[in-house]
Amino acid sequence: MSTDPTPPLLSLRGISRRFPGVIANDDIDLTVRSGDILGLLGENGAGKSTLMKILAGLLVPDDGEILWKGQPVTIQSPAVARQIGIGMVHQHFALFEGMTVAENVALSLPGAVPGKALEARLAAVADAYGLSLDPGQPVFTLSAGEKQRIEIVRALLPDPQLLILDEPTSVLTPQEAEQLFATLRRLAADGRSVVFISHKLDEVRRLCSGATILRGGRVVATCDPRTHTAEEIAELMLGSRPLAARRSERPRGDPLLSVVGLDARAGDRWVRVDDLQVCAGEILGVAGVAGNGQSALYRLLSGEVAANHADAVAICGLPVGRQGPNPRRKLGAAFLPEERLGHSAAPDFGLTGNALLSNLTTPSFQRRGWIFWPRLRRHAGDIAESYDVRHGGLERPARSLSGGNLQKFVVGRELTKAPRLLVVNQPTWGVDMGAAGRIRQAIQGLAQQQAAIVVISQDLDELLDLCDRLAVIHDGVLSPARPVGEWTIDALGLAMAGADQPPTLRKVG
Amino acid sequence: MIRLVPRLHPPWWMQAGGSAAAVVLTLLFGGILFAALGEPPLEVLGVFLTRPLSSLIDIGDLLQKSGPLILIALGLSVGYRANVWNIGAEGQFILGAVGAMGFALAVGNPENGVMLAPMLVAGALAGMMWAAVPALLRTAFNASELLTSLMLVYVAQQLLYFVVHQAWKSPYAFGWPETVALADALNLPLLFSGTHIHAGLIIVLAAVAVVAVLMRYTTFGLRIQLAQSAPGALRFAGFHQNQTIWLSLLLGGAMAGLAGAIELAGTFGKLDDKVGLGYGFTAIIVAFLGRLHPVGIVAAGLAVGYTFVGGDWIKVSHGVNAAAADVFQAALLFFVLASDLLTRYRIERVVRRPAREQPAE
Repeated sequence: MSTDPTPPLLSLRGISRRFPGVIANDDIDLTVRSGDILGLLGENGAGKSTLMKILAGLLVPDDGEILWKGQPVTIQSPAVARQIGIGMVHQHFALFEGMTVAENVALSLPGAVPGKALEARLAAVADAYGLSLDPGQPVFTLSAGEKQRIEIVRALLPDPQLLILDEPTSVLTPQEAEQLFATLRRLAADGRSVVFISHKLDEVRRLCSGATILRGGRVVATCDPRTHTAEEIAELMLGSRPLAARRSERPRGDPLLSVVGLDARAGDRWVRVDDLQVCAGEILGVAGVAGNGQSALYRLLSGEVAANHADAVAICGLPVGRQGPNPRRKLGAAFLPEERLGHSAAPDFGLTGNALLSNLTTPSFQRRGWIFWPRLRRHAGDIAESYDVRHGGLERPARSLSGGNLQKFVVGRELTKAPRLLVVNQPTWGVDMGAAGRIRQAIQGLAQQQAAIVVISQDLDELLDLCDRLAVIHDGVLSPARPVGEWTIDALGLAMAGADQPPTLRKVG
Repeated sequence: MIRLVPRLHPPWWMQAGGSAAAVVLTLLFGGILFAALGEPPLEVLGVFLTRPLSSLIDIGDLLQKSGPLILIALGLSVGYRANVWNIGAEGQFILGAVGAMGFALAVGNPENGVMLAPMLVAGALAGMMWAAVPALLRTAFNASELLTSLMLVYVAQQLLYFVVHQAWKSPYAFGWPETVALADALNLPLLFSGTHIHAGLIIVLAAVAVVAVLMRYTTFGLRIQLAQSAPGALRFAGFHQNQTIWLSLLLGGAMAGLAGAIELAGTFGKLDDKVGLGYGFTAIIVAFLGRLHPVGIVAAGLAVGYTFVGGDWIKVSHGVNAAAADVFQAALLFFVLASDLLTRYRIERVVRRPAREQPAE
């Protein structure tokens, strides 16, 4: 190595970063040469974000060294990262909507920049890389692609050698993505390097000259993505997990949840489900990459958002598509959203108050609007005891509980109602291993009692462990559900990446 | 640039010290103000501070001025806790007085105490109706209730002018813009002879208890608290945002309307063009000074009522210019609110940094 006349632009050696209970980055090696476009691939939680934050100076590694042009460096702050020549384009834009393009760019520069000089620099960068922008236009009038161009221009103005983009195409239309790729290729041709973080296999295969694949915080492969099929890369990302069909011992009953012709918007996301039936005693999993409409699907199933027509969602055979959560709960349904603080639990309320949130239709806890606090207090205490919720007092605000304990509490709150249908989004998100195991056990126990269960999760291991059938949500569209044993890991990976056509037809030159 | 950062647990000495500082600064300011006007500062301040409690009549005045403030602020506090910004209580108060008077006239202004309670209810309903307009505009068209409720104050004033100048103008008033007096039986009875304390005080105390119980023991209170602290959990619990807007505006309007009716039946005895007196606006300050909590609002209402009576006294005893008395009252509120703010928040200097240094997630 030392004889190499030109050391690589960036090399990471044995980078590790631990968080309580999890090793986010474990002994990571990575090399970027000038002119490279390196794809950084991995599932959610594989450690991509942690690694990127280390490079951007937002996190400091516990172990390992970073070599920049062969010299060891410590990137202790974003300012240092910028100074040595690392530019960062975040997934979420940090722009002031009411200001113009030029003003937003000026804000990112140290010191005051005269308007004329700024416009000249903007124009120079924009021309060189095909990033056309009108400096005087207010940001709120721009499309996502144009906003991203501002971010890229901002990152390029300090003249970085390395540009890191985090999931840059997640907000772009295919055409905008195409323009972005053209820009990135020009940057690379110019001798700059790009790290492109993505989980979209096709894009990485088309754009990148090299790929580093992370799984569980470790580098599992480094390859040239152009010479591998999407299936091969998907397998590297997901690992070769045994997909043996778990024999379901549970007898299957009548369909308790039926979703037919659901085509509705929740928030800013459209969701389409053609036909989904979930039967008594069955656990159905919904897999998908984050941000593909999982929350919207949850909101439509729980009734927080009304569906397109009453028959789109039926619970126990009754059409409830236009009903709110409480009429659905009266039919025996229970719901558990992804977010604990502020959605399934009120952060400022104690456990007693939180025990009431999904029990407003339960006559033993309130009648005609009068709340029976003593009964609720006993109930909250019972839940805490049987689900091993460690708390510092039932009236202490819910925000003071750890994530795992609060999740055990809200899971317990729903399960003690012995629901006939449970819809749960990310049941073990941000929860420690012990609590996660308990929660999964409780969900399986509920299915054993002939409840129908929908588990929406981004954790494939969890879904494979729990579910009888799996469907995949991509871009708001839910695929038909198939028994777990019929899915191959390749098919699952491809469906999650949205490559629903056979990959052989998608050859791109 | 500076910004305010909340202190999580302000120590008790800071809270006590803040209040003390507010009082000292107000007195200092008042002393300088009165001295500049050529009045003996210590004497004027002495009158302001001691006279409101110096006799039963003054205590009665204090309670009579605090009552409507407390009642209106209670209703507003429920909305404010749910992030519903009704600042038009002044108009709802006027409508309450107009509605109660209208009811009395409609039933023939009888010497019959049975009609007293329905008259107060009519006032509450009128205030409620006035608050229903912003509720409708907000829920149907997403129009800010902040603007619509405020604008309706001016409409209410014009309506008041119309009834006192024209529709219900008394033929015996020598051309003054006022209605006939309410029948004696329709006036609220005095509780203690020799004072102005009338039965409205009982209604105010009952309202404090009702709101406290509503907030603590009913699903309505749960809904309001959720709307304030966790709108997502509000939806999870199956409540609708629009219902919350309706309920809190109607409750606020009803309580302001009731206050208007009580003032009519307890203090004015007839409508004239000066009904209102800014109670509806001052109550906004009372609601926040009382931290939107029923007991706090009682204390804040009494404190603000105290400055009203004290202010009246320095006008009378030393002929202090009415504007100066108002300035002094305003200074007191200013210092109290400022000390409250600085106790709960600390000021931090912000060095302007490029936006990009803030992590995106």
